Amino acid sequence: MNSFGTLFVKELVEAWRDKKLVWLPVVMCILAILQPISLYYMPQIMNKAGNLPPGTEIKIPVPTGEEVLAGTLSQFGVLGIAIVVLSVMGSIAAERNSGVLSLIMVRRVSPLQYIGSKWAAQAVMLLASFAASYLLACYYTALLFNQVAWTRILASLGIYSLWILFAMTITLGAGTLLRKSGGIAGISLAFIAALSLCSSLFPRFMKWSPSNAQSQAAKLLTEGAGSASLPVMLVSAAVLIAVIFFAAVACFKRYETYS
Amino acid sequence: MEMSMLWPIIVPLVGLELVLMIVALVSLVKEENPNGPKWLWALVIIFVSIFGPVAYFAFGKRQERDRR
Repeated sequence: MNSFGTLFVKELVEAWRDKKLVWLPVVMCILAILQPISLYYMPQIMNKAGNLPPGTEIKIPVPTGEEVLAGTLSQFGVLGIAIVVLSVMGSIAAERNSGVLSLIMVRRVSPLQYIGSKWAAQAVMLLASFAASYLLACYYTALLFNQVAWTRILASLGIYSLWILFAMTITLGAGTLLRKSGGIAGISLAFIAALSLCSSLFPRFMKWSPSNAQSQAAKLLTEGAGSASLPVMLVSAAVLIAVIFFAAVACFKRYETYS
Repeated sequence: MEMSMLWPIIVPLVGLELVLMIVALVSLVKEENPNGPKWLWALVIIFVSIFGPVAYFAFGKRQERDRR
């Protein structure tokens, strides 16, 4: 096996030891199924917790399955991304601070292989957890509301995965710049939040922004087709992920020698 | 709302939360050098649902052990 494969397997083994392979999917699944469940019970919750005078009638229109899934995705946009950042932030910094990194780098491992193996292993874990939790949410939605068409589910899953990959790449990139995992998480969350804010403030100029993946995925679910800027967004997200990835590799060359 | 609908919906959710809590607690017991007092982490894991265990996994392990 070449060193990329070895590092990739090592990354997964380590995730198992840290129990990340357990908590990441479990947390994502909880987040994903909370939305359909809480929407389903919303009338009861309002009745129980609302302190409303007796006799008040609340009529909430029952959302469609598509709307429920779109709500699940927007729930992911806030908490899910925070969890992505938390799970990726330490991956380089911890190895560097414990000295494992220098042990790895004295072998013939290029920065590209090292960062690439990290990226691939984290991507596999995050996307698998996300897909599992999303499918679980779909199952609940079908159970409690109505079945959503598979093409819509898969399309929104694919587009949303791009946003998760983007957030992950940002965090990995920040990991090559800073030493402390808290700082890494802060920088990446700030960057992601700024990008989302800009694209909601200036939608005309930010059509390319990868954060639009969220609204595009929701649109695909509810209307069956994304808006016109979807191809632009897909291309720019892919390009940005690649650019950040190679910038991270370049930064890492310096980072690794810095002591 | 029929009660028969309630169980298949709520049980998996509670089950997942329990799995998360137990995995976090087992990992905490085994951890030799947690980042902060163990009893405090145990309280956080048990009483802060979902985010307690996540916070422990993200910050509770001393990842920066050898920092000077």
